[in-house]
Amino acid sequence: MKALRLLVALIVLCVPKIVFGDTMSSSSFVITSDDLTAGGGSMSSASFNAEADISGLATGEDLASASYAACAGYPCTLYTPYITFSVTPNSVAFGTLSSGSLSSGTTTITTSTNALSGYVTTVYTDGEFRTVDSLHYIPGVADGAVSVGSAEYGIGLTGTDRSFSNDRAISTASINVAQNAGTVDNSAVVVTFKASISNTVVPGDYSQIATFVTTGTF
Amino acid sequence: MKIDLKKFFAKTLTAVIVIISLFEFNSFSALAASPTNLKDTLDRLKVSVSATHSLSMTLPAGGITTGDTLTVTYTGFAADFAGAPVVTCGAGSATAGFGTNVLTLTGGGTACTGTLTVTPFTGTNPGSAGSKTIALGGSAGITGSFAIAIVTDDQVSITATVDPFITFNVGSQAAVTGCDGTFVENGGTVALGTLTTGAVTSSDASSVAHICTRVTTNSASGAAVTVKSANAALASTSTPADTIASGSATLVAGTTGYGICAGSAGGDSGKDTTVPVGASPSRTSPFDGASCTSSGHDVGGLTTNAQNLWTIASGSQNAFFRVYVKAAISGTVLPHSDYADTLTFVATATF
Repeated sequence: MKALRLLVALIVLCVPKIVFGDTMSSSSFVITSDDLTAGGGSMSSASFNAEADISGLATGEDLASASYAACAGYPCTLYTPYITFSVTPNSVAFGTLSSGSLSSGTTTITTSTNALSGYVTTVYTDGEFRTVDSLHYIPGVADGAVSVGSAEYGIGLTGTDRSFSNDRAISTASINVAQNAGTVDNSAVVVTFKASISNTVVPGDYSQIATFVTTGTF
Repeated sequence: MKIDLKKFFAKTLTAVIVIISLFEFNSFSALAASPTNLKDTLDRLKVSVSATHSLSMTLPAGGITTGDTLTVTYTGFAADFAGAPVVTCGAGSATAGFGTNVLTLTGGGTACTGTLTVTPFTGTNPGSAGSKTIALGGSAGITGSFAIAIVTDDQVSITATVDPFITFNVGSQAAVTGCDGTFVENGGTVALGTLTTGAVTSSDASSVAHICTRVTTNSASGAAVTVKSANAALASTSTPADTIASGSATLVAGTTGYGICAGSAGGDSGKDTTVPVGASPSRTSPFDGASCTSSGHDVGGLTTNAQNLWTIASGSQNAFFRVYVKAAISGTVLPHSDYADTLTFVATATF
């Protein structure tokens, strides 16, 4: 009798696990995950924090094999925000510019985050693409395309999360280069730096540093 | 054994409802006091560098009540957070303070509610890359967390080289053809024909060719086109002592003279429209006479030394000048069929 009652209870208990296994939300709240237990939760004082679980059906974090990963039990219901970002490579060398061709080089920015409102990646520079003495520079592209024979410099973007599809100038003021309104996993945007010169661009060594910043909205 | 199914299911259902109720209550209440749209925008994400922060969030109902605190703990960051940020609330007010790596916001006389922004303040990023969790706490009862990405390098260095260059074309060009930025010839001859006392012989008059010069350079300091005469005169090839000397003057019919000038008409010079803007070519004395056309004969005297003919003050693309060659004779000039001179033009840029 008791064994049968326990079996039925376990079957019934499994139902909400299935029903509530995904993220739940309404216009005013979000429940990212859930767990069915008899009690426990977050506790803290001035000197410690604790998470407790009473009669959890299964526990275990960082479960992984070569082909899967899992996290089971109450601790895994805690929403741990994360965001990772990478910029690679960290240098683009055009070499010698020519008025007869367009020079380009790429870097890839990659973002992963579980930020529910997504992320935005911006870029800003330390100034113009300029000579060492800062007296001369290649102007930022203003007509939407870096063109052969024109003195123009800027970036183009490829990738699902790119913020624009034409060539644009970059400057000390930040501009968006990648964005997504939801969570993303390894969202890559290729940033192509482009330069072209006219015959009146002053000779010298030109350089610029571009800084990329990604911010998640949680 | 006889099973009372009604009693059995009633007890089981009661237990399940109680457990589910506990679960739902705990889950919802845990998130009710958390902000939304929570983010902190840094100007640098690189490990171990100082970054400027701009924090914002939408506070939960009640906000930061008067005298209570909202703490933002940057675990893993250096203990040097500081600044005097501007704190704005949708309504009410709050003040900011720092202790090690903790930002503490204290509710003002009126609770800080709505959208909270705190900017700017600084702190040194963690020494390791990865997702860094930032926790909210404090006596206001606001909890939550967000994350900041820290990377090994957040910058891209872009480099390029532009080599110095200069191109130059100089040559004779038929009178009927205008000198412009497309000129590509080199060398040639300007045949003045038979000189007479009754007229000044000039380029672009009676089909006498002119000289076209064109320079393109990216020199920041510009360039100069010089001219040097082999004889400083038109000299008879067979009798070199017989000459028509060159000198700066306004040539007139019947008076011996020889020289060149850079055209004074608007179309005699020019350049391409470029970015950066190229320099306009400028005539140089003594070849900059007020009237240098097919009928205006203010010429400069040629010497056996190089003299500037025209210059550009900086880089320019397809800067050009039309050059007129002119000669006149008096009745005493000895007859020869072989008066000649050789002009050598050189363009030099200063890099």
